[in-house]
Amino acid sequence: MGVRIGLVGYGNAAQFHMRAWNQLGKKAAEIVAVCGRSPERAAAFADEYAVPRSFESMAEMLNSIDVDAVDLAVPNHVHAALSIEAANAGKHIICEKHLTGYFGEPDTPADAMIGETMPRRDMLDKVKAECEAIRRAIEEAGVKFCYAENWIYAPAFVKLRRLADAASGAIMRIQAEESHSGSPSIYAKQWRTSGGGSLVLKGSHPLGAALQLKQSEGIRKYGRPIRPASVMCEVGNLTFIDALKQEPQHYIKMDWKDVEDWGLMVLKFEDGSVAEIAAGDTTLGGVHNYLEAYLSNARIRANINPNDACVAYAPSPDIFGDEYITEKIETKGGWSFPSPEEDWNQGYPQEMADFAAVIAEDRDPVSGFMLAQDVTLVLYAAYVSADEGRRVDLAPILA
Amino acid sequence: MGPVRVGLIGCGFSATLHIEGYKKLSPEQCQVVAVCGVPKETAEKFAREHNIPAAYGSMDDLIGHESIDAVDLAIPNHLHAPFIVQAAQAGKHIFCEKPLTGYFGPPDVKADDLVGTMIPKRQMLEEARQNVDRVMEAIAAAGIKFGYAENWLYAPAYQKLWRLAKTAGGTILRIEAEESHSGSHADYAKRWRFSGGGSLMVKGSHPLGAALQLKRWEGEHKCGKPIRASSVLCEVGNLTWIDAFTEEDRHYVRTGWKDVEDWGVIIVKFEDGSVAEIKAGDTTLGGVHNYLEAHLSNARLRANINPNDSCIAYAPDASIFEPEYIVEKIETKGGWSFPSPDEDWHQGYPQEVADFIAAIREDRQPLSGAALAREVVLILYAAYVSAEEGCRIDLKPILE
Repeated sequence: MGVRIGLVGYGNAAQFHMRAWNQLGKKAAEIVAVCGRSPERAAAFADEYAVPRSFESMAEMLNSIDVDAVDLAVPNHVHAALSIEAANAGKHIICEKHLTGYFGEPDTPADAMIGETMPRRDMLDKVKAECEAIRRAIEEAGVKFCYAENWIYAPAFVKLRRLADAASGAIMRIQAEESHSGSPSIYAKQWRTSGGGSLVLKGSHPLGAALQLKQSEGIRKYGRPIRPASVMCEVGNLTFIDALKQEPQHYIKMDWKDVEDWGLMVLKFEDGSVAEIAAGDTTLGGVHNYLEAYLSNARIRANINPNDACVAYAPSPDIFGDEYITEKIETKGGWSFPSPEEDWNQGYPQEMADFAAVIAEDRDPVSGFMLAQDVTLVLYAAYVSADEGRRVDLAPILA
Repeated sequence: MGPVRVGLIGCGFSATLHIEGYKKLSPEQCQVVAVCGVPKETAEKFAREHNIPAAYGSMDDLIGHESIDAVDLAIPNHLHAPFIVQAAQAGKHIFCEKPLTGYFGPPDVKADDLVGTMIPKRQMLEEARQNVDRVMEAIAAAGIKFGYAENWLYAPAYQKLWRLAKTAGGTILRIEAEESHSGSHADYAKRWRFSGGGSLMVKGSHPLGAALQLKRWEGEHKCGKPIRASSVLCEVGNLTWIDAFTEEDRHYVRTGWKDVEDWGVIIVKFEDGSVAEIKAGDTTLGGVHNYLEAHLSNARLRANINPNDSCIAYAPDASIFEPEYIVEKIETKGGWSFPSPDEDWHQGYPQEVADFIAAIREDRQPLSGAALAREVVLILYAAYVSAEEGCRIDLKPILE
């Protein structure tokens, strides 16, 4: 029998996690229950995916049945509390990115624009304290923390890392980006629910992959990770540009409230190498996910999406009918790069396979707590940089 | 009018690029009547190779002996400013290699001084600004044509990108652009004393110029005045100084950088809220990497100046294509490659020369002129201040 997992959440993330668990098969892992605030929706999810049990809360689920791990496929602002609760109950944790963030205080009104008023340095302090609390809880409980950063498991990125290992030259520069034409969800557009803008929601992926690449380079060469030393960042609201607002038709999503819709972070690592991490909600042409590594003796690019594994052309957008092309593409007309199997390409089933093995074999995940924490703290340090218009030293923050 | 009579100042790498451009024009349009260089023998050799009637040992000599309309300044960066002022005062039209000018050290600077580490960047910005002002005043007072040899503006892929952007009419929200390769061979590129900066100055000036020009055009096209840069944030680094790199026994990228950066990123914000991400490096393998991508509100456009896939080749062994040229700075001819069918043309070299000559004949300013040249220099030095002081720099007081 495989690892017994309790799924927390029944939304979008829960659905693609579920698809990934199903691909993996019950010998490796089994979703034994699902829980969420609405009993009806939890039950409906259980019905749809043939999950044996459903509950109204994680506490009820953990009290009622025996699970090895919880899979937190829930919004970012509840990750911290649920991680600590699960750790205290002695359960291993699989957590969607990110680890945590700043979403306001318990009494902050739902419509408050904290992104406009709250200094980023105060946010960073609170987030740092929360990371520390989670770290303590999982260390004391001795449970595994698996950070569901799918990029780490995307086949193109894994191949890149293997080639980099084989070449073994110094990784001098990393360029990486995740962008598309904007989240449709209103939760992504307000700091109170999102914890940040493009950088947090999209940039965390390329950032996580870049940090992991330098961590693993350090471990391989010196027996300890190479960590980021400073960050400089600029953010912007490109959809607030007057000329754009006056256009009669918008192809990119509008209505961002108090979060950025574009950002660029420039990191320096302790060895002097650099990473350029971009993220945007204003990019047409479908999701754009890539990482390029410049080594002293090789150059390697992982085109996670799009890539030219399949290339298509249609003189009219209706020709391909209902067939899926790729995430967030605005038209099916013209040349396109249809993703043959997007979940696989993005590393979803692979991350779950690693997590199940981590728990079964009692080893560390490729994507673990240090990565989750560094991503979160670097993101908020980047916001401090953009807010204050200056470089931020990461040593005291990540210490 | 008769043919434009050009005096070529310098006989190095850029002079060769320019002379090929002049040769493509008819003798009725222009004639390169003389070349000068130090020592004079190098100029004489260059003159013989390219069928130029006369050779001199200095610009003074050349201007004194020949009746010319224009000078082409294909000389090292630190000589641009004094030569521009001198040529302008002599009433000659000027075609000048980028960058316009910069800061190259105090008056008593010695050749081996490490200017880049000696002088604070804020002082450099101030002095570069004075150099720029002097040059701009001389050009304005002489009423001459000034061509800024920013070839990217003339590169066919970039020209096509601008025409598509103009037709689409959407807002240019974001520009990404880069020039990188595995490092300049020239020693003078490695010392601030001669180059006035590192990768950003020597390479980044191209994508920066092209990005600034796009927003200038957009503004002029839509509201009759250019959209200008308002702030800059920059990070620079010396990636070839990484310990793990220096310990490697074989290097594929150039080393030996003295007091200049070998990598940099500039983030420009424009007054309308749009942004540009400008990158430059001397640590990039795989041949020269020159591109500009524009993210519009209703279109996305990419100009792959070099490499692009207009020709694709594969060879199981690096010797197979010898001696055919592949592309600038490629380390091997083995494996897959993207040979440039006509590199000068792709990069806009003959086109920039043709526009300069046409501008003189038609009594108009060239497409790439002094205003752009000035902004590129000032923004580059403001970027250096940003990187050194670790803070965002407001460009309004600097560019006004």
